[in-house]
Amino acid sequence: MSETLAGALGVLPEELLAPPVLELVGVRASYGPIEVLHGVDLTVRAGQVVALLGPNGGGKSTTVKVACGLLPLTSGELRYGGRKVDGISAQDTARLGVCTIPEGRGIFANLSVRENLWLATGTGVSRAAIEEAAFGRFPILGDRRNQLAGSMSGGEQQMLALSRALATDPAVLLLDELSMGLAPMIVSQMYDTVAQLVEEGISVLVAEQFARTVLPIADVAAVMLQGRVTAVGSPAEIDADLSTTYLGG
Amino acid sequence: MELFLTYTIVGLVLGSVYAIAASGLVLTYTTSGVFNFAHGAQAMLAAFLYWQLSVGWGLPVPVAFLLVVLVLGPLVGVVLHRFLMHGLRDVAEVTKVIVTVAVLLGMVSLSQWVWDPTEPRKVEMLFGNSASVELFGVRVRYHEIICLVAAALLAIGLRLLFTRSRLGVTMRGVVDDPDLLRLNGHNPDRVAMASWALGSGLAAFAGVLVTPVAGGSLEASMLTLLIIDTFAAAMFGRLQSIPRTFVGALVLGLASTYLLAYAPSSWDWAGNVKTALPMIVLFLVLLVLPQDRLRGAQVRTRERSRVPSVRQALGWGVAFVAIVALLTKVADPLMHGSFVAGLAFAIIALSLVPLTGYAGEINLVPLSFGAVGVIVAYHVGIVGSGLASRMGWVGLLAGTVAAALVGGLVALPALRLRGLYLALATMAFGGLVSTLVLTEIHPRSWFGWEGAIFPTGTIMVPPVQLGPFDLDSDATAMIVLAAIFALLGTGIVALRNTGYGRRLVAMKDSPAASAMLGQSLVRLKLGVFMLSAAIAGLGGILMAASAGSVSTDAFMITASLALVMLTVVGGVGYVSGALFGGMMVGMGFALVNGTFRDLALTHDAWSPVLGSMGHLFAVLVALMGITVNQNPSGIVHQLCGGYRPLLRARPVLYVGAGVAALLVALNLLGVIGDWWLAIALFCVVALTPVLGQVWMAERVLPPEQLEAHAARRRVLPVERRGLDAPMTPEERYDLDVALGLPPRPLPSHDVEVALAGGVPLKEAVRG
Amino acid sequence: MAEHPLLQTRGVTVRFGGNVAVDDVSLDVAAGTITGLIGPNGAGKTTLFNTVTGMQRPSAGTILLDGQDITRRSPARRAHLGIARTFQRLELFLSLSVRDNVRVAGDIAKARHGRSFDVDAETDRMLELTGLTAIAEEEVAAIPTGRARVVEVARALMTRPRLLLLDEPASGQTEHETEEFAALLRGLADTGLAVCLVEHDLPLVMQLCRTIHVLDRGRVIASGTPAEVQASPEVIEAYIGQEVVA
Repeated sequence: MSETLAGALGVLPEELLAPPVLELVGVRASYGPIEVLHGVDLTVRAGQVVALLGPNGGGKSTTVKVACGLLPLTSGELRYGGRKVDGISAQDTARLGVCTIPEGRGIFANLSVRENLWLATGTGVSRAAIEEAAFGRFPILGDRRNQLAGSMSGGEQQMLALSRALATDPAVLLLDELSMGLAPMIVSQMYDTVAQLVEEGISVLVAEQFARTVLPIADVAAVMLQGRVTAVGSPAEIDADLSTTYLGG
Repeated sequence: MELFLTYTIVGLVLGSVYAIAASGLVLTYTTSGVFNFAHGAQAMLAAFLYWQLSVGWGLPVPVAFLLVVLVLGPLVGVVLHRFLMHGLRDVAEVTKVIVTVAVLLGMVSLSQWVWDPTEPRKVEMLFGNSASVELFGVRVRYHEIICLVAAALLAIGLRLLFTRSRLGVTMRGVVDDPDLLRLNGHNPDRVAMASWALGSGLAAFAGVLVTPVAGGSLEASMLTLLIIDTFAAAMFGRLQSIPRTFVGALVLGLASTYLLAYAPSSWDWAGNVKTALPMIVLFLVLLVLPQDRLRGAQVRTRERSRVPSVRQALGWGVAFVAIVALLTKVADPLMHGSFVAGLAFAIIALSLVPLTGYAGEINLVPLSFGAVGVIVAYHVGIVGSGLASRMGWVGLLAGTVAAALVGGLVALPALRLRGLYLALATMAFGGLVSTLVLTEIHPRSWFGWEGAIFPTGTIMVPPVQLGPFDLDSDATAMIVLAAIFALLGTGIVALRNTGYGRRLVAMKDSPAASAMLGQSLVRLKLGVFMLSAAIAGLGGILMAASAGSVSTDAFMITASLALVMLTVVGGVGYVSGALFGGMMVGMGFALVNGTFRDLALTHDAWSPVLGSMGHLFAVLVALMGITVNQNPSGIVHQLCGGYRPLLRARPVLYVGAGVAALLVALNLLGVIGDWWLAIALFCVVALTPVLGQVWMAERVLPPEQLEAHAARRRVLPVERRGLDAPMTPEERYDLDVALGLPPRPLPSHDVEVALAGGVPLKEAVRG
Repeated sequence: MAEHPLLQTRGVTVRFGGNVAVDDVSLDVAAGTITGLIGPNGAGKTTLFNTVTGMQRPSAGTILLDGQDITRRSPARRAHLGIARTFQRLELFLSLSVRDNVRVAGDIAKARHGRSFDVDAETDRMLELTGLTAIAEEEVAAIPTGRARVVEVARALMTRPRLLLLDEPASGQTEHETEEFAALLRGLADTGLAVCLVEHDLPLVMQLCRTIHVLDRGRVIASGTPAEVQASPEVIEAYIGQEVVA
């Protein structure tokens, strides 16, 4: 519940916090017979960036998959804007304003840059406007508008994926391992963009194994180990224990 | 030159029709992952519908044409996707293949039911057969121009669809990454449905266009197989690329026309080669396709097979032979023949157990390997002459070995590739046997050997004689065939219990892990395919020999498909599944048709209804295949599963046995006929477990099902709701609506409400 | 390092489209030791395993087993030469029991080990060694992941490999199971087997391995003893990430 997060944060009483936009309450989820999330509680409030940290295999990606409706939960609750939406399909989350960039690249490799952008738009949004916004933000994409997305470098692919968030004007952005396989320079550019989106009022949940790349822009950090959230706190608190969490001291 | 132009145009027209059909096939395959073996049947059905509308009911041609191509064709696609293909994304390849094969068979049966095949029907070209213009000194019919223009427009249209339209780009997105498409707010199922509608529309289009081009007469099997030729064109594009598919289709169309046009007149086989050309091309393309990446278990299949021990199998085998021996004593001798046929088909079906049941590979044409066995046995194995002639063991052996060798040759090009390609290769082989081998009914010189491969189209195969056993008498044949079936079955079970059998299953479960342990997948597949072909060859010889004569019709592809489908329905992982499949094909149809024919003779007034029962049965059988996805382990498995709990409810078993005994007694007293007895016994066997569930539920049903039943019974009467138990949100919602109040939101409806009201999150969050 | 390097990769590079998954990797795995391969997600560890086992052709570079170039050999052939592996996403034979999963590996290996290789006896011994005897008759689909990982190891060992590649064998295991598993691996290495371990349970890797290679974005960024690796700033950076200078 949200109370637990507030309690864990120990900063503000519930009423003073921004309203929650995305909540996972006691969420359990399984791949086939194997349960991988054993009761995850997590809240993203309006305008917040919540960083979900922890080593591989801790359940970060699975948590994102549950949050965006790709993986059904076996028990617990998923809420958007305070509404219970368990069993929502991934296509409906997108239409409700939750934009997800999944692990790996969130692009269609065999489609051109423009076609990728096109798929990102809901009906009724003009293609030209989307392209303008995306190419304005990332001019390199404009240069490659007719190139197949799969043939671009990792960084360019990730720019394209982020352009979807720009195109759909989402309320919540779910990012899974945005930095995977990217050079630090590019990663920092990506998170700059994310920070700008936050300025525009988007709330963000970002699962990231490279803790230090994301902590500077995070408002709240949570650590996941073995399918559970083991710690929630301010970025500074979490940062202090990172080495132990990852390398086992 | 003019002649060349004429041939070129004819070839291009044929190629255009191929292209229209093949692009639909590729479209549905890439977007939904299901290769539609029924594509040809859909085209065929469309041609018949078009005939019915335009000729039968006299609608104007344009109306009939548009109705079929734009409305009925796509509608069939939507229905197929909604009810069948939709659920096939994560199932084993065998299941996917069998479901579409069942649709094919169902459509063929349906068309033969509705449109009596003995009545000739002609479809004219659009604008009539004679409407034509002269172009460059060549006479071209309007219909041909339409074909060419349609294909060209389709090529342009598809290009625009895939690059300019949202739907088309979404279709390509589905191929790339369905999950990501979901996250972009699109529904992959809806996209797949659209592609099925489009693909089926194209099938219908091709069906209507091709009939007059191919001569104009409507014939269900012929039309179905004609479109199957387009598989080769689709293979050009590796079942993925539509432009390459177009090229392949045009090459095929031109090549087959030129072949026929320019072959020397002494090549009287050129016509057959022309018919077989797509299949030959399919093999050639297989040879050059690059090897597949080694794959892990992509699908967590739901098929589960209990493996009996050899001792158990032997026990069942002995019991089976004993029962059959008993049957020879009590059953009407007139039934013996179809019983023998059933057993022979069951032996052919056994070939699928190691191949498909254990190794997960598919052979769609076991009867064609049977044909190879028969032909070789016929030419080398007959001893004696006249009535005293017999098929000796040399013939059996030679036919079996020949089938195995041919099987190896057929499978070899496809073994590096996915299972679907092997299935397609076998289909192509079936086509080759039908068009090139079984058509060799006149003598000619073969590298020094003078004679016909399949003399006169019907060959006389004398009864088998194995040492002391002369299968001239049907009773002996029944017992010996039952014994052969039992022996082979036991052998196959024994094989499953050896290291070889375990390796087959391991390969099916995870090719990647198998290869990593050092298994050469190609060698293993080759071996099991040859074994399977050998069994099919042996079964084929036994079938031909027990029937006395066999015509080319016996080896039709559709017969093979029915046998494969019914074996999978019965349970391809089990010897009993093969028995089910073989008996259904060899005996079931004869049984049902015989019963209803007898009835029709005795009840004149009902004869039209009773006469169509056979057709109904054929369609129902196809429906069984369509449901194979619900029960991938097979009917026999399910039936045995139904009987196991009955051991705890013996009275039910006694009742079942009692009814069966009563039926047998009635039969012996002459009150009911043999056909009725067989059908009634079948019902008793099927219904006894159901009786158990109703009568002694507490002993038969597992606890969780009992609980579910009890819960259903606890449902409160309407007037007590809200009093004895608190109202559920759904009931409250219904009540609100009924009273005309603004309904309080239903939790599960939140999503719908939210979606209907725009983007609520942003409003909720940003105010 | 006195040990003979059993496996050597030399300049192995794997490209997928515009991405380089494995970038010029040269490393050795010695017989009789456990070598760790660690790195963040997407670093290319599994891809490297795939090139060593032959599931993936490298775009450049060579792979040597015992000095012999095996770059172009088929997966099955490499298994015959003594390479065995487990899979990160389990690849068990789901229609078979635990015993038969192990036994079928022996069935396959029998071809090269000859008549003296008694599959049934060897299976019993392997089940005993890996502590699976108690669940030998169960359906492999029904056992917990931790045990399933051990079944994969037992299956790989049945081929009597010289080189064993383990892809995240400890994930899904309980603490107790991990301890037992560590003991098993040590015992195997003592018999002369070369073990290469990809694992996210870093304490386990630190405890087991003599040499550790760290992969990041397809490149080897550090190699050395656990202590050296743990102290390396590049490694800490690779794992925890560089601070973004906003």
